[in-house]
Amino acid sequence: MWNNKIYGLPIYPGNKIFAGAIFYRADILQALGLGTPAINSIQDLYDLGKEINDPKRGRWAFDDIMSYLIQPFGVPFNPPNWTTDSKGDLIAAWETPQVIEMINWEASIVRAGMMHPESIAFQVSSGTQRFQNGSMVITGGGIGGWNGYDAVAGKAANKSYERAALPPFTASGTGTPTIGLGSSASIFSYLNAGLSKSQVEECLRIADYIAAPFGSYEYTLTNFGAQGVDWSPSASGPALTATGQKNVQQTFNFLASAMNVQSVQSGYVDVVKAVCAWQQNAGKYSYKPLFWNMNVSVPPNLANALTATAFTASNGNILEEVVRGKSTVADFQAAVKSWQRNGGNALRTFFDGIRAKYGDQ
Amino acid sequence: MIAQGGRPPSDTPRERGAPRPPCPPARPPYPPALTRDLSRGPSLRVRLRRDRSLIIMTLPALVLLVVFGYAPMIGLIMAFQQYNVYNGMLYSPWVAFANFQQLFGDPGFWHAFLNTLLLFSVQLLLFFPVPIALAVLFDSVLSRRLKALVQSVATLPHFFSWVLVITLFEQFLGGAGVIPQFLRQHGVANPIDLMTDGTTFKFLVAAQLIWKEAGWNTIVFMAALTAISPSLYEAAAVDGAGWWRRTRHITLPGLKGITILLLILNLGYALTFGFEQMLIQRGAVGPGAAEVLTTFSYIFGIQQGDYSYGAAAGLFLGMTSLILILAANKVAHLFGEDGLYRR
Amino acid sequence: MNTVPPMNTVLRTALATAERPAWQERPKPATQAAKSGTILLILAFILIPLYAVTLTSFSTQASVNIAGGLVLWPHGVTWNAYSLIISGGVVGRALLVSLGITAVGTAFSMLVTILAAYGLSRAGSLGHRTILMIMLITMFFNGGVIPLFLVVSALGGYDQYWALILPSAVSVFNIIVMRAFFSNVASDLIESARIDGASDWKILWRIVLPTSRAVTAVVALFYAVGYWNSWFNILLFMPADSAKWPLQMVMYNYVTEGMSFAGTGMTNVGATLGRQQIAPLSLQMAVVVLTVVPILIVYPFVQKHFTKGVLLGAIKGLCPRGDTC
Repeated sequence: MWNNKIYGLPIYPGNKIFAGAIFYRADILQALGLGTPAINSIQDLYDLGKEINDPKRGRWAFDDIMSYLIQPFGVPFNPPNWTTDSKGDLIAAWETPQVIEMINWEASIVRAGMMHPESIAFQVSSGTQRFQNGSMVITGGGIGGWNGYDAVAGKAANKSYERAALPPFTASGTGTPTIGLGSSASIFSYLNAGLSKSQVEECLRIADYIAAPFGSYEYTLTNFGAQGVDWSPSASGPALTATGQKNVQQTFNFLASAMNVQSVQSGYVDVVKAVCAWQQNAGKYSYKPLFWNMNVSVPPNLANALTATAFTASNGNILEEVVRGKSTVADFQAAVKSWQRNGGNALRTFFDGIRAKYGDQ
Repeated sequence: MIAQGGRPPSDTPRERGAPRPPCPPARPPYPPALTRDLSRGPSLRVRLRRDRSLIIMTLPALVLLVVFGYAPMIGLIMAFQQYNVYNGMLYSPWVAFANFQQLFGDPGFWHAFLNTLLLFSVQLLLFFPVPIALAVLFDSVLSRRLKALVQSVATLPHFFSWVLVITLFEQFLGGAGVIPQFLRQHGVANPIDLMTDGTTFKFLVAAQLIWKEAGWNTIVFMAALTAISPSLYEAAAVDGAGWWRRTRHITLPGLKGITILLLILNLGYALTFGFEQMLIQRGAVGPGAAEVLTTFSYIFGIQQGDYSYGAAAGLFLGMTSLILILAANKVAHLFGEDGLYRR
Repeated sequence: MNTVPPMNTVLRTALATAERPAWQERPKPATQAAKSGTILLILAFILIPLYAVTLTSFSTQASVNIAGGLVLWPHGVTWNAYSLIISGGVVGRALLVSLGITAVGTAFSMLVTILAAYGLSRAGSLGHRTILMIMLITMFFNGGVIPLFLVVSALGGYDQYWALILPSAVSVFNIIVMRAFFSNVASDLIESARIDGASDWKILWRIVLPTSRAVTAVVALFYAVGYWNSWFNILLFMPADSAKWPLQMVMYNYVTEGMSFAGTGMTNVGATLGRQQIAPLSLQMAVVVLTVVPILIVYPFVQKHFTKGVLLGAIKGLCPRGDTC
């Protein structure tokens, strides 16, 4: 405990500093003579879609990019999904006015026939393939998926394959874009309060060593033990010796881990460069959402209201239904009211309490 | 219990003095082999001694069902509680019928109910006759080897998962699929995307069912067909009956028994119709077209963590299905058929 | 002793010959064409998707990417998917486990089912309708997955092979089918045997079973397919312990989780790289093919049994009054 808050040591920090980005096939746009698109508003994106969309040739402009439209529209869809309205009160992502604009915009691209039918049909598992073979030009995805392996797979389908990402923008075209930071880590380790002072200090010292930026020596020491004793180099990396197999367990990473590194797939350095450039640019617009990096345990009777599967279920939820024209915005708003009644408002009161007591970071 | 010699007299009240209704004609007695002497009936102890081994024979199945069927039924208590994972079944609060009240007051539930009945009826009309027709068709193939080949191929789709079947349909019929692309290249500007269309969904369901299960279901009918004595056909042909007449008067009646048995069993499963098939496509077509009772129970019960609600829906489903199947059986008896079990 | 009524010989001959029986008219060429056309269409509808699945299983990653999904025109062919699965080592073991469970499970289920079906089939026997009703109810009510899990684990079944067999050993549907048949089998024979003092066990073994090779084959097939295909029980009762896994579970994991079975040590550099990999489509399709192939192999043998089998039973079971039904 420190300052009345429980602190934990973050482990396995993910690449999820940013939820993701909107990707596009740079090579296809080049081939169509569109160059590098300058997307500064959601209308620009729509117009770009119209230029690309060509179902007869088997090319649709968009995938289902709702999860990544949250950036331009500023909808706070990172759990626990809260933001403040103009009065400073807590509102949930689905209570904001901009969520309706977002739904309506995506509905408009579906109506215009610009979304790939398989995306409409929730055929999520073949999404990457559709992007790689060019039947979908604009998709959304996590930053982690933008790596050398993706380039290898993509080039297998098309030698000129090139994945690029749109920088953050605003839907309206005015104002500065914002992009929410994801949690630095989602798993934490905690030290037992019953440990003696010297044990705590030792643990913290080890954690400090591990968490610092590292090179090969530190990495192999942490993960494989001492060279010569526990492992020896081989063609595919460190190979454990007999002693090593007995003694080495990769547990240090559970105490603390270092920041994630972007590894290079040999031959695809430019992919890594592009990723880093995008992240540096996005960093300029990043902000810490409410309750960022706070591990809040919600009482069991409010758990449903927190997960709110009606709005977040990945295999179909009310937002996706409105996008596909299966439900109306009125149905959506009714669902919001229902959520408010069935625990949403109580959840809000609960988080108000947290805010009052601990602040919101 | 039916006494030997005829039906009991009608029990509608008659006026005093009015003439008795005529006795129904005497029916030939049941062959002694098929009944015991029921008018007096042997004593319980005698019957116990006589049927002891029969009862013992049913014990293994009974024990297994009690252990793995009835014991877990205690879980149905959840339907009467406000079940909470933290409190478990012992400590969750008891709410009696509140869950059911909520269920019946939920328009989503009734929509799912009606939709289930609709989809089931369409399936009954469009899918149920297909295996019968296919069986007649396959049976008319004279070469035994070809008949076996066709039958084996036809049963293969039964072994595919629904996920795969729907993926296959998507690849061929979906908006970007083989057929629409073909249409697009030949002038049709906006071919319908059958996989996301709510109005045609019921027919899509039937089509998927036919593709996946019709072949497997022909097995039973083909077997029944071979039971029909060829001498009947021969006699009819000699008398001048053409193919259609023979089919109508010999083949179809020959399949009556098995068809009715299957119909009854199907009715029992009517309300639990199509879980996986609908769940997978619910997002694409919209819950308006695809919601059935089982998906409703799953999504609004289990997925949202409201286990009580899901359990209440499940209990209602089970009860209604059982009533349905018993009623259907009664109807079958009225028509003189054996149905599930003899009267 | 098996007395087979003479009528069956007529049918047997009818089955054996592939020629048109004398009384059947010569089919008109139009009907012939229509019939063949329909059958060809049916075959096509089934074989074309099957072809797509098989071709995809043999396709290179490049080919799959170009097709954007299932491959219809071959672009590049490879054995990769199959060699990956088979060399994994787990598949061989899983196959044996599956075969074992199917064999043992089917045998056990058949034993229980035959006994129960016969026990319930004698009209008028004490309590048979009550017991039948008790069984029927279980077809429609279940307490749910969690209580079943609790019962099985309370009995010590977690991670045991018997948990894959016992809970679903009894199918009331199959009992009903078998029972309907047994009710009508050679009742006069049974009666006279009873009068002669034979016990029900003897009757079952000597009279009823030999004339029911038919329905026995059908129900056995239903059970066998059920055990072979079941993976939900596995998901429920077995932890992620590769050694005991039957084939279906291995396949399920390939398809959904893209787990790799190289597993000899954690060489995970970081949580980010390893977890994102979804099994390539060709691998998933290879899995599908591998699950269907055994059925294709076994089916011809069963089918012979089948049509002739249910035939013999059907005569008795569905047409108790002899020739006319």
